Amino acid sequence: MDFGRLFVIAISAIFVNNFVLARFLGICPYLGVSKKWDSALGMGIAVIFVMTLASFITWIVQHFLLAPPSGKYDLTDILQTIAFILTIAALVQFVEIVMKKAMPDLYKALGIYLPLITTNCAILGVTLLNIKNDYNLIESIVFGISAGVGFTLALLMMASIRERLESAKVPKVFKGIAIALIVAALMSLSFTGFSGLIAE
Amino acid sequence: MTLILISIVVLVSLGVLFGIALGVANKVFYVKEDPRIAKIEESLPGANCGACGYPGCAAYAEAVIKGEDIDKCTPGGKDAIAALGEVMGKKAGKQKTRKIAYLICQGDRELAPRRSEYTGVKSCAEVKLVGGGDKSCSYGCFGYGDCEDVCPFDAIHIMENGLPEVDEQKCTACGKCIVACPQNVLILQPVDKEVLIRCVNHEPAKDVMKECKVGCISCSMCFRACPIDGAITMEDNLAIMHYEECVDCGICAQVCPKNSITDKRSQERKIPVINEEKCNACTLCYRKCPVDAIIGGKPKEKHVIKEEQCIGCLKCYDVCRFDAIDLVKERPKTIEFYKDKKYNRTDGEHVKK
Repeated sequence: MDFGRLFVIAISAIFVNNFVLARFLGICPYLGVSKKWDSALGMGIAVIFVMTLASFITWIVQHFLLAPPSGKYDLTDILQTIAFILTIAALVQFVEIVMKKAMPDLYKALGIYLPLITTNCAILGVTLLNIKNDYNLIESIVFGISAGVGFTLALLMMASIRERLESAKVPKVFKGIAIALIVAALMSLSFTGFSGLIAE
Repeated sequence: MTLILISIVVLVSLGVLFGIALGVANKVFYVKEDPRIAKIEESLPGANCGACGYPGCAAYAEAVIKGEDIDKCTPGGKDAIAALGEVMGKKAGKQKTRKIAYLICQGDRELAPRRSEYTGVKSCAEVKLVGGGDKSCSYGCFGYGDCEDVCPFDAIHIMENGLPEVDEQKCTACGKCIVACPQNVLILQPVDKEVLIRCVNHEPAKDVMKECKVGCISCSMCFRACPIDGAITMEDNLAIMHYEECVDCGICAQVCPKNSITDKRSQERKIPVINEEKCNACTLCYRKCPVDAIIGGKPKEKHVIKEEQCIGCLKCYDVCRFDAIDLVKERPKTIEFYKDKKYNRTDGEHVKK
C-alpha cells in the first residue's frame, strides 16, 4: 500500500480541496449549523461518520452492482447518482436505528444532525468523486474520512468566528446571514492559499 | 433495451434489499418510547419560546414525563395544563393568575415630544445608542417596536401615538418583550392588576416637568396617601410601587397630580356599605379584605364595614355572592384623610405614621 498517496489524498481533501471552502459543497449546513460551537462539532462528527461509511458502501455498490468486475454491463452513467442517493439515505436510516438502540448517548449527541445530512450534497460529492478519481476501497475510505475532517474544520472555524461576531458591533444591515456570507467568502479566499501545497 | 432492463433490475433489487434491511433493523433494534411524550407535545403550542425553562416544547414534554410540573407552559395557558393533566393524570397546583405584559410609560408623542429627529434604523436599541435616544425623556418608551418585532404571538403593537399596546387576549407572558426592551419599561403583572405607577424617570422634578406631561415629579403624594405600609416608596426622585404589597386600592392614582398613576377602575372607587338584609355572613368579604376593615367572621354574625378603616379597594364588592354590598359613599379625595392610616400587612396592625 502506498502511504504517500493516502497522505496526499488526505491533505488534499482537508486543506487544498476543502469540501466547503474550495469545492463549495455542503454550504447549507456550513451556514445553518455554524452558530454554536457545540452544535457545529456534533454536525462535524456526524458528517465524518456518515462520509466514511458512505464511501465504503457506495464503492461496493459501484464496483459490484453498477459496474461489476465481469464487465457485462456498465450502469455508471445512468444509475450512479440515484443509486448512491438511495444507498446513502438507507445507510443513514440504518445507522440511526442501530445507534438509537446500541449507543443512545451518541445518538442523543448527534441528535437531529444525523438525519439532516442524509441529503447533504457533500456526502454525495465524496462518493461520486471516489469513483471519478478511480480510488480503490482503502483510498475511498481515507478520502471519505479526510473530506469529513475538512468539513468539520471549516465548520468549527466558522462557528468560532460567528460566536465572536455575536458580541461584535455589526451594522444592522449586515447582521445574521449577511455577515456570515462575508466571513465565508473571506475564509474561502484564505484557503486558496493552500492551492500551491500539492504539485500534481 | 437490455441496458434498461438491467438498470431496472439493479435499482429495484437495491431498493428491495435496503427496504428489507431497514425493516429488519427496525424490528431488531426497536426502542420503546413513551407514547405520552408525543401526546404531550401535541397539546403544547409548539412555539419553542422557552418560557418553561426548557430549550423547546419537546424537551419540556420529556421533562413532564419525568415528573416536572405541568403548569410551566405559559403560552399554552389553561388549555395546555388541562391537556397535560389528562395525559399525566394529575392536576396542577393552585392556579396562578394569568400574567400579561404592561407598559409602564405613558409618554406618547404628544405628552413627551421628541427632542430631535432620528432617521436611523427603526429600533429602540439603536436609538438608545445615539445620545440616549430621540425622546425628551431618556427613560421612557421610544416606541420603535423592538417589543413588537420579538413577540412570537403578535400580541404587542406600536399604536399611532408611538406607544406599544398589549393585546390582553393574545399575550402569554412569555417575557420576550421584557428582555428585548432596552428601556425596561415593560413588566409582567397579573391580568387583573388594576393600579400601576407608569413612570420610570429618575430625574429631578424640574427636568421631568420639561420632558413629559405625565412624568413622576416625586411629589410623594402617592407615598403619603398610600394606606399600605411599604406598598409605595420614594427612591431617587421616583415613586416605586412594590407589587407584592400593593392591594390595588387606587388611592395613589386618585391623588397623583400628574396622572402618572393609572387605575383601571378609577370611576368605580367608592366606600362600600353592606346591606344587612342581603348579607349571609359567609365571611368571604371578611377574608378578602386586605386591611381588616370588615367586622365579622363568627358564625351568623353579619358583616359591617368599618368606614374609618376602609380604603375602597372593592375586593369585598367583587367577591360577594349575594349582591349585598352597595357602592354608595364617595371616597374622600384628599390626601389628609389617608395620611395617618397605614396598614402593615405583615403584622396585621394599623399603624400611625
